[in-house]
Amino acid sequence: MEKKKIHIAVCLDKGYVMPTGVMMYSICINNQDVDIDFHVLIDESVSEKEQQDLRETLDRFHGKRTLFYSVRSISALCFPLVNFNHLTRAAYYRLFLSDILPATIEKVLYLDGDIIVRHSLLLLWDTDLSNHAIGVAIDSNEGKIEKYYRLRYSYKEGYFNSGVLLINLKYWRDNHIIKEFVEYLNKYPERIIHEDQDVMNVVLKDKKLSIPVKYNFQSGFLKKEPGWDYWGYKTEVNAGMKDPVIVHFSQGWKPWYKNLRYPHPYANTFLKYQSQTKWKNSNYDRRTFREKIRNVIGNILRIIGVKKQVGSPFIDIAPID
Amino acid sequence: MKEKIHIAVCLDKGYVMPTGVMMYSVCVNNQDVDIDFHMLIDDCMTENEQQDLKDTVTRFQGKRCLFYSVKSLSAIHFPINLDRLPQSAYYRLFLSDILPSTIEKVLYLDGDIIVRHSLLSLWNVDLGDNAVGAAMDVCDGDIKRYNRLKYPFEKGHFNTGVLLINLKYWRDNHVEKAFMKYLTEFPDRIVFADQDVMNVIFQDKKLKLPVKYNLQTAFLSNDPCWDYWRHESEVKMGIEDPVVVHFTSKWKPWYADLRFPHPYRNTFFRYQSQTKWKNCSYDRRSLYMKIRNCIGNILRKIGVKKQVDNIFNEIPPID
Repeated sequence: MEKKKIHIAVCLDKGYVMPTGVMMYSICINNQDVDIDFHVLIDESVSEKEQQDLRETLDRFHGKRTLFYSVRSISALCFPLVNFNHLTRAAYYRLFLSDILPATIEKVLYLDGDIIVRHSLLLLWDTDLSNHAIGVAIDSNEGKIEKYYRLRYSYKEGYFNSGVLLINLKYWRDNHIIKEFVEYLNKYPERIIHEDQDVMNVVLKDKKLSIPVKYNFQSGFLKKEPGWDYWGYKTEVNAGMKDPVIVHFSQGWKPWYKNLRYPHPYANTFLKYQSQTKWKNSNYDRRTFREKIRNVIGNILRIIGVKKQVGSPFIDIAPID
Repeated sequence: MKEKIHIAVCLDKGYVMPTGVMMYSVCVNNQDVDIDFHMLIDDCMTENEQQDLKDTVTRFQGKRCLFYSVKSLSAIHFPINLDRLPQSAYYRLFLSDILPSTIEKVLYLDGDIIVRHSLLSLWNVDLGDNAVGAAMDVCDGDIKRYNRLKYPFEKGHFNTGVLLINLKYWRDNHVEKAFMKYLTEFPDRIVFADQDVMNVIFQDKKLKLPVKYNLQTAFLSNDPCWDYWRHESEVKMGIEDPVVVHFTSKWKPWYADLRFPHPYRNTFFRYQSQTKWKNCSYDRRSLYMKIRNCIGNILRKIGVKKQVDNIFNEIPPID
């Protein structure tokens, strides 16, 4: 019998090669019984060497392939309409997946670069999307009412996180979804704060299928101050917390930043996978020189008791592997 | 026979003037019905103040003022720390015990409101099997409240400044006991006094009234914290022609010290000018604050300090 194949899409730019490589490694090691094609969208900021590193990561596994798509070569197609901020451009690539990927592929699982996959993805992949454009989990700030006012629709329609997307490419192509994205971005650029996520939520608000939070377990779900409807989603979020399939290190809480005062509760999960890759010794300190000095002074003031200690924003939870 | 409306008011010391103006606005706009005002007072109310309120409504035909002394109910223990709000905020929780059992329905009104039209359509709302009829709170969309009070967002959050109360339901279902139990067990969850506890206990037993029956201040602001697009037409109708204007939070028309006046302040002044309290206003600022504000205004005038934007949307004035 032929093995099942999963299509995964990843959008990449310069700073994200290491985390993306670790993410791809975590997928392969936990999904050895399926074939996987990684469709990697890159721009000119990703070097040949870095592409080679990603390829080599997967070489150890059976049935895994990496296919690179240069976004530069298709830029004439769709991008001139939108005025992209250079730094956030890669975030928008996912909006164009149905144009970029071959028409023979009808479904793809898009994954952000700041996630770790802990289990098989088959159950998620086999979700029947039928007439839905997309399968998505709620955003950990779905309860913040301001965004609905800004985006001009009711809270009842909900707000999802765009870090994990099970995309019905056929639906997107048949219904010209890209056109709707581009039209909205051109018409209402002032309403957009969260890049691709805002526009997707508006355009797909009545075309989405809900998937459990365990498939996109974001940092916010571990915070002491919940930004979502805690009592409405209690069971679902608790299940996700206990045994997430996908851990999404959303917001500023990246496990590979060594300058964080409080580490993400699942940071060790990331570090475990990282230690098995060629990026095992790499980490980033994003602080500018000025910030570093400020932090050092702040720490001294806290030690001598002049400045108040800051408490951890995270709840206490049992560690996961 | 004329219809009779029962209205309940809870009062304490600082609120005699606003409450009197409110009662006057009720009477002048509801001359074709009889009204019994059931006034819950405690020992800080003087005889003289009670007489002032009585005089205000007895100018009108078929209006009565009945006083209930809450002191005699001192058996009630308020289990929680009350420094945020006056104790009188909690009196409404005990209306079904305090009012005679012959009264099965009552309209509770806060002291910081003005009634602009007939209350009959509100009074005649059929509550069915619901404990209470109430309009949504202006912060209905604030997720923190639901997470603090531990119930889901979809149930909504109502404001307790205007309550159409099914007293029979309250008595039959012993809701006062449920209130007390909650206040005793979870005092740490309570921030907004009676409003928090009622929203928890009645989360499945409430009838939603249109916003025009309780138009709270922030509905007029430019920073909505309710689900704006879901309630757009309801709120617009409320703003256009509110039956009840509720001067919530600090935007009381009778405070002389506010930078931005409430858009309906003149509505209040108009009614106030027809009462015996016509010349009464308060400046709550300490001398220190007054000096600070004065300096701030000078700095703004000469352009050193930034002007602050009005928090209110511009709306056409109403009567």
